[in-house]
Amino acid sequence: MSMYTEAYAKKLMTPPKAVERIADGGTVVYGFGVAEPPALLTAIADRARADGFTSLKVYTYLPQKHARETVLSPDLSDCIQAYSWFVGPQDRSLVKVGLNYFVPNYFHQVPRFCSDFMEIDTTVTTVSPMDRAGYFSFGTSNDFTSTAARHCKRLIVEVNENMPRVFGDSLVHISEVDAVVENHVPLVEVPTPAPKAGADEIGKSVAELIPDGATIQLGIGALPDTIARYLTNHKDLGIHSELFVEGMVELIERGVVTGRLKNLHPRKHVFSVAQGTKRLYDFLNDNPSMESYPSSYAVDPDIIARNDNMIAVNAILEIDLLGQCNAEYLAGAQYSGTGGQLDYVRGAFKSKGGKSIHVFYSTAKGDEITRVVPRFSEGTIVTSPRMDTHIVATEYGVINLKGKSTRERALDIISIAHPKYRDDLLRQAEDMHLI
Amino acid sequence: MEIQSEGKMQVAIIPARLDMVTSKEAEAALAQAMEGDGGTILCDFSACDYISSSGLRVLLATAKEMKRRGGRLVLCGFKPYVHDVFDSAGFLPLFERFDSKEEAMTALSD
Repeated sequence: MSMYTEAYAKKLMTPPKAVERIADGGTVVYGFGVAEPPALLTAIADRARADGFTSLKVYTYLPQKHARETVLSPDLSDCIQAYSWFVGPQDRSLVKVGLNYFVPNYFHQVPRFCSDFMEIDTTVTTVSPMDRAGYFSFGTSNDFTSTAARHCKRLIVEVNENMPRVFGDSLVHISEVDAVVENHVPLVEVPTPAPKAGADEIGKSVAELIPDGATIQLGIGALPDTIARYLTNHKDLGIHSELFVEGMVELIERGVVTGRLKNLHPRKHVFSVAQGTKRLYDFLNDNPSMESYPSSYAVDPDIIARNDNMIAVNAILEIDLLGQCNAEYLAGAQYSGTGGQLDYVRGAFKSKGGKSIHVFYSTAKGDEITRVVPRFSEGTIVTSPRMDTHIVATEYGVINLKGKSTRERALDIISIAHPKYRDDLLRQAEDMHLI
Repeated sequence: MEIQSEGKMQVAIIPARLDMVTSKEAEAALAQAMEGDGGTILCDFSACDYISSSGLRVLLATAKEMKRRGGRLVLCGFKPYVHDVFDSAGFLPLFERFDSKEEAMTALSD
């Protein structure tokens, strides 16, 4: 038995035993998305139900089902206070009624929140099995998790043989770990939602804006994935993306993405978080072309800008006639989060030859609602200020707002609205003294 | 917040707004009402138009404490907005609930 396996054996324990160490009144950060550790979160919830915590702060980012069924369970909301860095379907209603608190952020800043502005008692996350040198990999979730793991009083890892072993700055050594539990369950799968009508038009037109040799970032959702499908005839693309998604796997396997022309990390496909299906997790495992980094690096606008021809593609919910984009606020409540969107919008435009592209469907609810609006409704959050908005695409076309006057911007924005709303938008633009 | 004794039951008249301002008073009143073991507290929401997360937390903590003591916390008289908040919070399955005070009194006196 090596000294590392000996250390592993000494730290191996049951989940209830491992979470006994979490201080009542403390702050817990758990691994993002696919790295949610189900056995440890269940043990924390069980301890809370047995009156083992009078108060506990838990930080979440786009929680998945394991968190929802455990630490975000409504019956624990009197003793577990959840904070959300990015809202998703599992905690949207809880944030709306005020049981969970949203924490505004740029994704690249969250690791610094963990190191400088929070006193984290315990970090819990799923990792891949330990290698012969005593290292686990953070797998799909590097983001803030790797920083939180090193800026807490105790780190508890849940070893899962299904978690891919990922290269980059993604390793944590057994000597840094306080407790180990084992739980070899299938990872959460997050399939891409089906695209709506109009997605193909957007996919085709955006793909035409991406030159061969570009480095791409694709955000979350059906639209970015559709765009990936229209990139299959491109050459020598590279990946530097906050999120590694299903559509990218095929582009790498087909040889469309080589990373050969990247200035930074050439021939490596860089990301901070991965989510998709088992196919994607299997692709990541022990794949030396894949490198993950904390969001403080992979999502830092200055780092993003170091690749020439950086193309960032992100979905938004709506745009106003000034060119402000809202990607996170809907029906009077926080719907998602800023995430890395503005980081990539700024990093891409700073890149030599780079482009930031916002994509969205021009309407919602069967054309009943226009997503091109004169003004946002009161209280709406602006994800990308008007000075940052560059290229915008809907199923009705592609426009560039950089260098344009407020009049030209308003007219261009109206030109990509659904035709039935354009006359009304023109009248409102006049009332707003834009045209 | 007013608490009325009706038979063996304590009836809490939930104010028009159970929010951050009023929930502390509600918490204290409910704590006083549940002194001792067992018993039933019926929270009458028929005059309540608004409940915030502070109010939700007070009710959850009180219900848990009542359960520990072998008693029960029962809710009645939700208006649509209050019902929606409980629904959004995932709180509906956590509480025994009746449409009206009369219905609750009849059921609980059996």
